Amino acid sequence: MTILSINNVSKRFNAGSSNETVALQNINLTIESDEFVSIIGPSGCGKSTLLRVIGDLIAPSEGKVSIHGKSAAQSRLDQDYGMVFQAPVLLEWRRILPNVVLPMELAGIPKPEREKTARNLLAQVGLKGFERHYPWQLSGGMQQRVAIARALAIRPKLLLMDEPFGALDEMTRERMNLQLHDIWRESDTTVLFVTHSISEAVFLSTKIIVMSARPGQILEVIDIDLPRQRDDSTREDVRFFEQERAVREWLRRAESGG
Amino acid sequence: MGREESWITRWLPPIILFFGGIFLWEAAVRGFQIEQFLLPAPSVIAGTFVENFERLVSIGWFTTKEALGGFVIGCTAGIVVAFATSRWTTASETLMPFAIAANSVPIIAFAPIVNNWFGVDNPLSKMVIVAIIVFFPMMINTVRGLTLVDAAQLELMRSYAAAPSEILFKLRLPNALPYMFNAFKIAASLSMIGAVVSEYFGGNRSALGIFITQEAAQFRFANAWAGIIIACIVGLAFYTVVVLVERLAIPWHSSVRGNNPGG
Amino acid sequence: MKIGRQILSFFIVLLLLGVAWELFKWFGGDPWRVTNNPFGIEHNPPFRIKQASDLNLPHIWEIISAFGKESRRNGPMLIETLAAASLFTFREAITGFLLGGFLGLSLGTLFAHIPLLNRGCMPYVVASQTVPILAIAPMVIIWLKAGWISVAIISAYLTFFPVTINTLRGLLSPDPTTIELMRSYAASWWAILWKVRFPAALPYIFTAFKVSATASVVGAIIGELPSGIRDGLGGAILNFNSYYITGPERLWAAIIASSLVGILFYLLVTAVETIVLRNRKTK
Repeated sequence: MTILSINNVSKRFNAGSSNETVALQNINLTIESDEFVSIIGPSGCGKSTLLRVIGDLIAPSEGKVSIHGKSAAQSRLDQDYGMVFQAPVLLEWRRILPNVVLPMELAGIPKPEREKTARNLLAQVGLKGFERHYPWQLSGGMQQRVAIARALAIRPKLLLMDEPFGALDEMTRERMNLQLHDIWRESDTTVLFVTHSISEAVFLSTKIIVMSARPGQILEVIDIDLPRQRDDSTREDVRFFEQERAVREWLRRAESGG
Repeated sequence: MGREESWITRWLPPIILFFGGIFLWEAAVRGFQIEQFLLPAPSVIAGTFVENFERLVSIGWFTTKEALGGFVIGCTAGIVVAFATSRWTTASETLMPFAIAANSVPIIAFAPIVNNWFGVDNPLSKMVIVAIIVFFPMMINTVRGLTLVDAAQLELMRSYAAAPSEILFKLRLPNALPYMFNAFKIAASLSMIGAVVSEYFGGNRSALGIFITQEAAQFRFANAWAGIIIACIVGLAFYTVVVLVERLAIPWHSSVRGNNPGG
Repeated sequence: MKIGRQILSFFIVLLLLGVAWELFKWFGGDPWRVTNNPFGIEHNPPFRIKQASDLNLPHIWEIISAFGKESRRNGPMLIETLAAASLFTFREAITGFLLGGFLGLSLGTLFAHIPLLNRGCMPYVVASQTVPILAIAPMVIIWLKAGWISVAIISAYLTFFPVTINTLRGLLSPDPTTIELMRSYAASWWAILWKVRFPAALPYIFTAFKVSATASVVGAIIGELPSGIRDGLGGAILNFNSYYITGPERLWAAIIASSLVGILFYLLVTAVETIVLRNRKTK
């Protein structure tokens, strides 16, 4: 079933002025439910912009986005998707539990239910016992896990993630990748994941979209030929290296201007 | 996580300095035989203080009420205007340059006019001056706190389709609290000074500012100093209360918890 | 563009305030006579409110025209008197500003490097600001003899506080790793202060300077009151206050002059800030 379809989306900043930049040009994309799709590309290729257009945080200059057959604006109002940003973006005046509760609070879910859900989610991301801490008392990796728990709180059918692990060290990152993979497999969530890291993309995804810069457009869609369930041994699989090489080859082309 | 430094290391140096300072002062006045009218010895001031304690407390209380009243009126008005105008970006943006300019105006110059409006003896005229003095820092800081919101947090709220009122109460207001407490601290020390100084242009005979100026004019400097000390004590108490409330209200903020990074 | 809009906003609000002022007088002031307004309007306000009377709230045009009239019988024009007084007070204020600024920078730097001194003195620096300076002013005047220098020192007393606090905060603001980087280059204590800490502290210091600019003008005006100095704005305010009944608009004019000095000093510091910090990212 198609969960996300993007038709001819373009985004121009400062349109009409001398420093007009074309961030996205003629993006066409459909994503089936239950997939894990990564978007990879050189910096400035518009991958974060694309994610924000999908989330209706910025409006496209042309084209249409539909999530589950609804417009992007409507699905934002219906809280159909959860979003994880590059930084954790926690509200520093709220303790950890109320931070996870926030989206459910805004959706009007009754208090006992939302707190129970939040506790379960925190346990799921390995943060049991930190409910009453303030964000500043947690490390960067822990804060990002809180952000993921928060994004999952409204049981989104679509999870939009903008380089969520970009600021983490390699070991933490690999552990978080594994955790995210488990969460994705156990839920019926489709993930759209923006990243810089080739190995992260290959490890997590069922499909990788390679974008090129100026103007930002889709260069190639690569299906990842790996078993659906990934674990530590995946990284030693010969196919893992092959796929990595293929993605790297496309990225090189993307950087040399396609 | 940083623990609070111990009580002793925090408060011992200022306490030592306090008694050391008093001792040096006393020694200097006695040793160099400094004239009473230049600088009375601490022991003399303390004697005056004890002698006139009741009178000092009653005039101190009179001026404290003026300061408190002005503080409450000015802060409330500042917050209300800030909230009202921050609903409309153009309104707050139009008002801000004027508020900043007004904030650099020596408000105390208006004291004689306000005295004429409400009567020299009326405590209300001092409250109004104090209120105007604290209004501008309060309003400017609140507007800043309500508008200087992290763009990413705003985006987060938008991604959850939060209503404007939810963004106001769940994001902008908590974000503004540290700014508001900064303004409260400024207002706390300004309000007592403002009340005392505005009494210089005339006021009730039982007011602290009048007492200090009259005693000084008649070269009874020990009395004047005792009055100054009352003003300091009230000002410090005022400030301390604000700091304590701040600790309770925004325990998450770096100004309260210290600069200890997490992790 | 942005500055132009701010200036425009300022004057719009000022204009609205002026309109509100005259409206208040229209509804509750003294009767408008052909002789007392430039529009030749005859009007009897429906209410009588004490605060709106010609004595308590003169017409704006009365205040403006007062600048062009004699400040006392056969004396110079009010605008000349006030310009001279403004200059006098400004000199006190700027001297106080420089003294207080220097003291604040020194104290802030000392406190940043000697934690024990910081712990011992900081409570008193805070407490010093609860002392009503008007009350200690007579004693300062006696210690230092009456004169504009002693007023400048009173003004410095109000000025040093924000500079001390913000210098300390600014000097401690650089990232510890930046300090470590400098140490790895074997940078001296002085080099770290001059090349890392001080540049990082500059925005903080200028924020304090802006507060201090205002405070120094307030300090100068207040300092003049008990010192018997009659050449400045504080003296002018006292003087016109005692002749209030015969010419309230002159007191208003003196207040306007004080406000202008305060605003101009603030703008001066802001201009210097803009030049010094022109290459910094603005918030």
